[in-house]
Amino acid sequence: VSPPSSDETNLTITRLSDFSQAMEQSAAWPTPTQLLLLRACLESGAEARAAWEEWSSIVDLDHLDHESCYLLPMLDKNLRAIGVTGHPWLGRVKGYRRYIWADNRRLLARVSQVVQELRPIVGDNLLIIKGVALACGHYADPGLRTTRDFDCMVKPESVPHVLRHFKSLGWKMPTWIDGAQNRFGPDVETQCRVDQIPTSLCDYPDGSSPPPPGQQSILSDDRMHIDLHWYLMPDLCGTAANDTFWNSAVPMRLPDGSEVSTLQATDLLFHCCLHDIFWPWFTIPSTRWIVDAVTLLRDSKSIKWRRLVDLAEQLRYTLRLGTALSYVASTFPRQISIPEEVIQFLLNRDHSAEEIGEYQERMGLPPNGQEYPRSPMIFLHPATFTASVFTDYQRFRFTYYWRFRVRSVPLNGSWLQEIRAFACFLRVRWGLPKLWLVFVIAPFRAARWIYRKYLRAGPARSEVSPESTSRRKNAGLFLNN
Amino acid sequence: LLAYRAYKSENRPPKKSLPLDGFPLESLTRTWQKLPPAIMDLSISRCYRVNQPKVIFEAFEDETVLINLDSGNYYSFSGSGALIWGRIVSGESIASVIEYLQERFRGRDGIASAVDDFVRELAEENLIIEDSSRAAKNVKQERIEIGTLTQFERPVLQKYSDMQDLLLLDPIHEVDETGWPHALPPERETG
Repeated sequence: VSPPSSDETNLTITRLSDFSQAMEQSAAWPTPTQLLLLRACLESGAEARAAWEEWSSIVDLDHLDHESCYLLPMLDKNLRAIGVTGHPWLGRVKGYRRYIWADNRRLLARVSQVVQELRPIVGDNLLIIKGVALACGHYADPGLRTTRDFDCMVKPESVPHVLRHFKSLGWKMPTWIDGAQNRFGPDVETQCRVDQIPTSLCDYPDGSSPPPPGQQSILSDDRMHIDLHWYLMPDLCGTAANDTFWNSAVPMRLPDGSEVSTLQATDLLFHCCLHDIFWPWFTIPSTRWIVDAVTLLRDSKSIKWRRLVDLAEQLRYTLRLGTALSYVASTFPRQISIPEEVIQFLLNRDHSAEEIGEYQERMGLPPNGQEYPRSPMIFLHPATFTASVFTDYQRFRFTYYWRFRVRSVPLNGSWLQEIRAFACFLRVRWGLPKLWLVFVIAPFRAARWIYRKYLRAGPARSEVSPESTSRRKNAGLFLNN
Repeated sequence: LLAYRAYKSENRPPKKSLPLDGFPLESLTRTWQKLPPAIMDLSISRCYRVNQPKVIFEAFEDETVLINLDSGNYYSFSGSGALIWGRIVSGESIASVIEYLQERFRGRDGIASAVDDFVRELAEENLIIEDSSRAAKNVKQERIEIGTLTQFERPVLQKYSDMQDLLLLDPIHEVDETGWPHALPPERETG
């Protein structure tokens, strides 16, 4: 698999009117315009200067997309390092850096308070991940990495206590996790007891977009936004898969001197390469992960390549990780160096069915030159069905099953193992006490689904009641904040 | 061993007494009393430290910005202000900072009073607090040149009240050419 060249994606976003065009042409990789900005931020000397001059001549600062805005602090630092002066935008670009610095420091001061509040509840089982971990531990100063929220991870069994704590302090949560429409129960305790399932498979009768599984967003009155994770990534479900990150956590100091735990540099690289890329609903290709990855890779001594490869192999992310690393290595060869054998190993191994399907799902393309694995399940992957069978949303939800089965079906497993894994999944999904009940109930549920979808007359499923509309509106308001 | 020690103690040279005789103590005291009060105050080598953790700061090349988390105020200064701030943060006494600036800008008049006013302003805003533990040390750090400042300008502490309001500004569209936190004038914003 070779990453596409920049010529393949001819999408430029310079004005707000271009956003609709961007939505139609969603792409996984940075656009040529974004690539120029990345080079102006990350390269050095004449190359950075040339990229800056070209980028500033084709974009309009007043109509910059949000992904590009995230990179402005890095741009300001690099422009000053290479001695760019006299451009009329420099004042506003520097001002944006000051803004992000002030906002980040305000956030970090609140983070220290929140960490102290959570200590009695979670003890040492608190991991700082994503933006705060990168900004404090790996960037030259905390203002260089735009960090809008505080991502932390706790053990699944602590989640009800933590959520109850925040709720008692007046923090806001969307209704889905403690609302009556949650099929696993009206309270967070019941919800989180079932920690073996991807939580976004909960019912959403109003059709609102659920947050990704394994995490919950909470918002305070003073605009602080916490993403509470109990799984590192939405598709990395299950406690066992996340244990390795807990076991290899390292200490880190927040700016106020308090000590917290965070992911080691290798795990942060693993996370940033997998988390933000290839999401099909991103209207603008994400670029932050590239800056994060380059920043981490510049200190290559802190990266344990053996561990990175083992993680990818064990958790079945070899195709995605290999593709991401290959892209970064080929785009910024003068800034970082990734051992060629690591990329070759990740890309050339026998990928699992779910990885191939996932790649198709996210990239919208078949992986060039890759043969399908022998597993028969590849033909049942939602990516292979047409839109008339599965809507995009259903397809997205069903994709999580594929991560669920990682723990129960070996690579290229047999039909029997696949059927058993799917039955186990349905048992948890339907809340059944015994596995054999799945085979009893499944025909009835299938018949009901067919009846509702194809035979029943009446309002279409897409029509929603006024009550559910208001629920969706509330959830949307929360998420938009 | 005892015999050796007795021999050494007998042959040890006598301790030198301090040469107080003839020291111009009275003349120095008279000079001291003639000095202006500001210089007298500085000569005791006051030292300050940043009021952390309540105050956070960052040096952006030629500019330093600070936030007082208690009051929510945002401050910034550049040029000679940033130069003075860097010296204070590194632990130098005020006298040492003045000495450095006078040396660098070839004894320009008004440096001592400008520094004193600036430091007083910083202290009044609770950005720095006096550090008595370092007062007597008169620390002299390695003289690192910051920026390309060639002329001493009276430092100006710019203050912006209420960070919450500042952070609600759109940092691209609602600011002037110098960037956040300098908001657009109302007439330009509406126009």
